[in-house]
Amino acid sequence: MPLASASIYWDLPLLLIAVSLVYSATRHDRWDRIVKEAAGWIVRMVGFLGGLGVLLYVLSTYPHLWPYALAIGLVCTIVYYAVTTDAIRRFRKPAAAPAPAPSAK
Amino acid sequence: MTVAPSGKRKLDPLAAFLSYLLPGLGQIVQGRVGKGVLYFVCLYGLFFYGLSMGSWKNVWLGDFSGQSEVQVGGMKLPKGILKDLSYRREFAGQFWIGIAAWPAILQYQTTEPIPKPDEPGKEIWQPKPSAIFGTYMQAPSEGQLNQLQRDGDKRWDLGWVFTVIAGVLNILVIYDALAGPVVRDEDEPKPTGGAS
Repeated sequence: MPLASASIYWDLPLLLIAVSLVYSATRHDRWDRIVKEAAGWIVRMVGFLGGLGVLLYVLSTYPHLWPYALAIGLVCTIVYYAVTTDAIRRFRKPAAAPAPAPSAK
Repeated sequence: MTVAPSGKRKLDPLAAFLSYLLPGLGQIVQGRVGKGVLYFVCLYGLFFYGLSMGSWKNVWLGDFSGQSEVQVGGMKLPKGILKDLSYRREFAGQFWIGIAAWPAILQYQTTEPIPKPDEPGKEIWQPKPSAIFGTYMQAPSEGQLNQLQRDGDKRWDLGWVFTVIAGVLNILVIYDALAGPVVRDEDEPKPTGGAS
């Protein structure tokens, strides 16, 4: 079924925007933070759902490609978490040992 | 939201109740007008858009007293609201949108029970429209439900999902009116300090 004729997908942006704005507004009082967090949630949800949609579309259209799709999905997930968390930074720069307390003389 | 000098959250039950009645009303009363309007527009927009997607027939609570028994954890649910909600779980989420869902409660009180599965004439049963709301938010007949799901593609189902999400999100809004946002400005790290 072509995407353009599947009308339910055109209702989803309203849901994404409303949910992101309301959730973010319950976490902050300042508008700049509300908008920033809402934008982050929209990007994450669109990325996750869109990624799943593309993956399922590829798998249903080219069923024999499932090992490649699985590998690409795993790599994308690892890269996403490496970039969006501080995993890489922690790996490169281990936490410094606490400085010794000054000795009383 | 005002914060007590000790740093503890000052609870505001009245604002929470107002936000239950109308999403954002509690915030408006507290002086957070912009947020209140945002909540109202987003949640009522979501709720009524979902309601319209379902041909205005996906927010309702029926009287299922004549239906088969329901057991939860080995215990039989008594006749009444718990049993009816177990048959119509969506309403447990839709209820939290506040006044907008009250017609369904009124219709639940005044509409006759849904016929038993083996009752003759069940297919042609139609609830009597109420004097105030007519058939708005009234339990639809089985024939109507079948027609909506058969003719309305998937939008009928997506519609009730919208209304449930709007109701559940209003629980967060009620909490925001009660105790303020989860992250208070004074909780957040200062740009120059660097301490978290």
